[in-house]
Amino acid sequence: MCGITGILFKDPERVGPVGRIQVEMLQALNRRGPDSTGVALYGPPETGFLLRARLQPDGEGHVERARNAIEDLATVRELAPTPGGVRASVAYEGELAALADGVEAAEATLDVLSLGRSMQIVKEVGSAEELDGAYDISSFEGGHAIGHTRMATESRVDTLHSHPFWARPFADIALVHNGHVTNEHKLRRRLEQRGHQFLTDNDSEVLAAYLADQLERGEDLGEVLERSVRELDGSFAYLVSTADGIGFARDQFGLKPLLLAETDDYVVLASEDIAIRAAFPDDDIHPRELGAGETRSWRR
Amino acid sequence: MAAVAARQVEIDCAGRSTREINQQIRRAASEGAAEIVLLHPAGRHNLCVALFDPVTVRLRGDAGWYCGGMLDGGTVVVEGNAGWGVAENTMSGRVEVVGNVGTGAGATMHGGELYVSGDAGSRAAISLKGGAVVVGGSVGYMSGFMMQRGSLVVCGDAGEALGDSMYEGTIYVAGEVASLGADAVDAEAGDDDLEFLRGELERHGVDHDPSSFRKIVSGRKLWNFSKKEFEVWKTAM
Repeated sequence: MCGITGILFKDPERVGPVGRIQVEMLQALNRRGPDSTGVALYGPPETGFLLRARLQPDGEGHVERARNAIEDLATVRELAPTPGGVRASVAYEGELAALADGVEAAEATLDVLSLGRSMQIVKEVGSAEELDGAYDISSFEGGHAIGHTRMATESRVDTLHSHPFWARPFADIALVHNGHVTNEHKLRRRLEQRGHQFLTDNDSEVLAAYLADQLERGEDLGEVLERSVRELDGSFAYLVSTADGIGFARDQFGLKPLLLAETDDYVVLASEDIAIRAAFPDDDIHPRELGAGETRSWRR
Repeated sequence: MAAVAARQVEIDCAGRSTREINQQIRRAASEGAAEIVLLHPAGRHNLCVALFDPVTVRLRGDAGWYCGGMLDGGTVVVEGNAGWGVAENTMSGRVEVVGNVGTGAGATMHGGELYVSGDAGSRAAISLKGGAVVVGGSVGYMSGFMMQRGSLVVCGDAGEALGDSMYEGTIYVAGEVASLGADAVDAEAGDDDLEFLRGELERHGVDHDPSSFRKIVSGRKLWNFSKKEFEVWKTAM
């Protein structure tokens, strides 16, 4: 199964409790996937980049080694340890691929989970409540966010294989996916030939890069989503988030559930109504099941 | 569980397991309750399944998946939306949803009725074996797929492949049909059809002209394999 969730406040000036909403929705969907939980949270854009990384426990000093690895390539404005790694605010002018690949090459215990001016990905093995307990997701206020609770089917249960996937190396783009893309090998090869590197053998990581690659070439998110429905094989309901918006697509047989509720103030998407009602118990909203092959996107 | 008035019982779903709630519904029904009100259903799955007593259960809020499944004789009213498989495999009785429902609404129903005031997702009335599914709004794609008996009434639009490979039964649509499925064909509505539609629409308080509905039935070309009609089979398969 797996559960996916999205929340977006429409007013670009509006900052709301997207962290709390995500935790409530993901915990309600925990039964759809108890293996791991993650969120991509979007706050006001920074002048530099926000870096989130996983660090494998490796004795003392690995946080300092991570700092050194990052400082070799970028100016570290702030760096703090997290329960599973580090988060840093950095000033950097070059290609993000060079930064991500560079720090990982310099420090073997480090894997970059996300890089962006407004996006931070937090993900771990365990439930939404456990993730919130470790990272205080609930206190995060921002404009939009996507989330995922995973039932692993084909790849490992660990932090790196958890969702959301950063569309490496594209800033601020993330993806959560419920389903199984059966032609991911073809897409993976096509992207690898063009220099993309993947951290996992997960089809969703490929899907994230496949979408972001088109967006970076200047294509409209709506067109990219529509094309994906035609080009992807298998079953899927996915959400993709960018610096200023969210989009979704559902496969042509509608094999994976996805609901939408929209008001003048916000857009909320989730695999099941039980999640929407957990976060918005009293709102006068009417979640609608999205059609097979349907796509749509919103910008703040 | 607290008695609110004679023969009416309230059950607060908050803090109770689904099994506890369904057991309390059955106990209250067997003890003679006429109406059971569920508070805070909050989109929970499998509520009111296998309800065999002639009782009315009213959900004050959204239901999750399979609400009212295997119903036989009771009435379930959802004052909100419902998820996948609402009223699935109903034998008799009535399910009413004052809102939207997900995919597979009324799937494999043998009898009874399902009324949805809003929209239904894909595959509404799939493999319908009897009874009536009435949708005030629109239905998604492949609705009425392989239906065998009964009626699907759609006051709004219908998605692609409507009535695909249907054996028997009747589909009525007031709005646009994106496309008909394999071997689903138009038929002329007769007096019996208009009378049936008038009765259904009046009963559910839906304001529609019965004569505005398009009638769709099985072309029966898929009943028996015929080499002469290979093209029809090729499309269906």
